Amino acid sequence: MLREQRSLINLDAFPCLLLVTDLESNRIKSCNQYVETMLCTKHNEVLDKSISDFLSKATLILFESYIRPLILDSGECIEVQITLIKGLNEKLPAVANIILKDGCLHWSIFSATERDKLYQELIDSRDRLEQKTEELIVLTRLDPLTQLLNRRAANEDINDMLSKSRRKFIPLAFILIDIDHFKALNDKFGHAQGDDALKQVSDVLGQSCRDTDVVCRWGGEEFLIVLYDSNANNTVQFCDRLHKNMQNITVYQTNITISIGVSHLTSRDIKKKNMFEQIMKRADTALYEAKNKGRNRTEYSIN
Amino acid sequence: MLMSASQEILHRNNVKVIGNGSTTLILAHGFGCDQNMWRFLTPLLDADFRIVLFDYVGCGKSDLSAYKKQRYQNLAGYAEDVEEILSALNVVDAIFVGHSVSSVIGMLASYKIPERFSKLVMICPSPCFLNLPQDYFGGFEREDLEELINLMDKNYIGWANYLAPLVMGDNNSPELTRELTSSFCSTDPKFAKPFAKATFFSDHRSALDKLEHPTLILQSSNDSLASVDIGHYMQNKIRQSTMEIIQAYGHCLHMTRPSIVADKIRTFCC
Repeated sequence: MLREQRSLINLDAFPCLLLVTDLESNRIKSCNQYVETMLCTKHNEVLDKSISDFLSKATLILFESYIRPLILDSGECIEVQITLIKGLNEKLPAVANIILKDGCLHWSIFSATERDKLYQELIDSRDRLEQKTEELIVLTRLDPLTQLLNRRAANEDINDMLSKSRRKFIPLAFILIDIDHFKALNDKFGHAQGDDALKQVSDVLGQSCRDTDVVCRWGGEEFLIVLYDSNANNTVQFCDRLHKNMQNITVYQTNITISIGVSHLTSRDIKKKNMFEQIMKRADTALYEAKNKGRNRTEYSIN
Repeated sequence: MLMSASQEILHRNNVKVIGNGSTTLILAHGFGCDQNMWRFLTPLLDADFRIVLFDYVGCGKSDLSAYKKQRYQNLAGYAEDVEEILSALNVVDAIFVGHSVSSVIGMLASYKIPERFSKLVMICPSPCFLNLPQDYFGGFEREDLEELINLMDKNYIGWANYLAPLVMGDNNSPELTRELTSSFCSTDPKFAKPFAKATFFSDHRSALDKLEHPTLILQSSNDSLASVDIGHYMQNKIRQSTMEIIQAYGHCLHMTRPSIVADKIRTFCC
């Protein structure tokens, strides 16, 4: 009965390509007649050719980098999408199931034109979603006026920095900046000029920092910079440079100056639970002192 | 308990140290797979060598939460993995065995920390997979490689895993990331696509003549990814190099001809 049933199975009648190739050389040892439909090549012309003659170059890389190692390791590779070369140079998407038996690879290959279109639509949708997500992340992290990080994004980045510093201490300098007499400038020249001053100061701050530093609009006319891996000497030089660079900024012939308060992360701080708040408090006190001493200057917190 | 910086690196790259011997071999897998692809070779060498195995971050059982998009955009980022592993283990005079793109990765690492390398073995290497007409033929056109990236996307089933971080915020937390599939070859596009781009769109030909360490190039006689001509090209550029052509098909000599590869390594190292 079983033999009778088997005799009814005609491999040439199946709408899929059945191939047997040599594991080593990739030579096609046998295939069914469907090869003529699928690859537009005569059955007898396929035999003894290499399977690589019917695979796209990209598929060849996939075959050598994934499919063959997978088969050598586990004896099979199931449901892999490949691209066949049909006729002269037409590309045909296909799905292959491949198993290793008696030193030969046994392939069953199905046309996958429609599946390929669906997957392409999925990829396009994913790419659009990815792009939108990136745009949204940028929008939620940046202050719209100055294009610096907003306070929430800065908090996230600074907490990351502090976590790293907990694992392996890295000196960080917290630099709190306030534009001198900003309220008076706003009242005298209007909000548009005030905004212009904020933008110009932001540009100078952004240009003065490295990618590894955090620069943000902390609120109103206040800015926060966290210098990554910066010791006391480097920080002094940096703040001096900021004051100097501000000399180029004028609004209606009024020079813009800034006051700065600085505190440093010390190795003692990293053991404290609320270290961020404590460092900021020290920077804030130093900034208050800078204002009290006449503005346009930097004061450093003594830890 | 907190891990030391060295322990973190060994955990991050799923580093395994096996074998006995005073000489250290570090085996670096190529694009597409992980350290398991060395499993046919290691039993032939572990009696004579101390063998270091690892997975690049983003491959195999590496710590996926340590993946940094920026770092792994080019091969220098993968070379940093090698540099940090050798430093964490405090290895000097290691023999670096790299498959395919890892040959170039090892070469780049050797420029940074030459004292930690003594020799390099390159299995089926290529410094550039692109055809650059008149000058160099790496075997592939740019459009072939773009199709590869697209095929990798189409062969990845774990769409939900890929989309989840986009929706939930990609913070690389271990809860969101998970081990790659149990199969040792994975096409998770988040990690595999940058590796593919770094591998197949790069050109490191100009770095070859800076290599000072003695180098053995093992090329397969029939390899559709790295031809014998490319082997000759590399041998001409690398000062202290020798090349052996092994009669074989395919790009994975260490899997298909492990005993020959083991013999060549042993002869070259002793």
